[in-house]
Amino acid sequence: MSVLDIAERINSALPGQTINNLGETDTVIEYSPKGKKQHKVFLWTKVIFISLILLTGSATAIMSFHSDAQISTVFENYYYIFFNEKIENPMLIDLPYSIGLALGIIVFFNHFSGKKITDDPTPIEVEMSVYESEVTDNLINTLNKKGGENR
Amino acid sequence: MNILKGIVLILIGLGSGLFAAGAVVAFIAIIGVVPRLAQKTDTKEYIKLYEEAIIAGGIIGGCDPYFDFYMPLNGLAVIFLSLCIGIFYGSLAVSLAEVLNIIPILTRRVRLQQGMRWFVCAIALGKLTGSLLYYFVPGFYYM
Repeated sequence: MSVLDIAERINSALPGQTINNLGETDTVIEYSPKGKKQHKVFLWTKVIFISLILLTGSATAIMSFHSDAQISTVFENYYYIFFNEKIENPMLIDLPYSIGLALGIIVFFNHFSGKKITDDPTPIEVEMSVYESEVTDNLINTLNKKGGENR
Repeated sequence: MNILKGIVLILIGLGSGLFAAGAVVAFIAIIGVVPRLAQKTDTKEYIKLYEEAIIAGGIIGGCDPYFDFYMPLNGLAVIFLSLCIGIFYGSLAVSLAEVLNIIPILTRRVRLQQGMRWFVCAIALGKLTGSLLYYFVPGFYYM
């Protein structure tokens, strides 16, 4: 619904008034006569399913990144540069690497097991709101195009 | 002298861990897979849980080359987990293609507005056959 529709209705009811628009020009209104409630079990299976997808997916993504970049060979080379021996999986670099991995992910996502580090929204929440605003804009554009033909 | 070298190596390890983790996980977060999944199933309140799933997955995958752990899972559970990995990678690949605007550019060049759903089906089937050919035709797998 756009502000022009509202202005038309107000004009036909009380003619001759001036209307100042203070907010957005288009809104999207969803009308559902009964509230949409999801069954609890269904909701929890969906949540668990998506969490499993993300868990295994990101584990495989990092593993494939490792095997692509050959990080094991790089660390062996580092150990050889400093200590002049060839060891497989030098523990001196592996442990800080794993700790740095965990720290990096936690610092990037800005919260860990319910406790936030700073007060901004987390990156995925930002992406979510950006995505929603883009979808709403697209919806408004298509509805305006179709509405313009019908009017 | 050895202690100094040890400290430098520890710093190198820490720094590379921070960077590698940040790169991969930032890629996953920015590419828009998670908001799409969350919106499709109408579970927007649980995005914090999804982030923790990504954190846990990243830590498990990162520690994998160095620590041997053995999870005795059944064959059926392995099939289900492989399905999950496939879902994730399929949506990752297609969202990457979508970010690069392949489909809009194609439809503008060819001037074709209808038939979008056939494009999507074709992409999905193409990925499926490509992956199957990669595993079952000898010669591809060792490339």
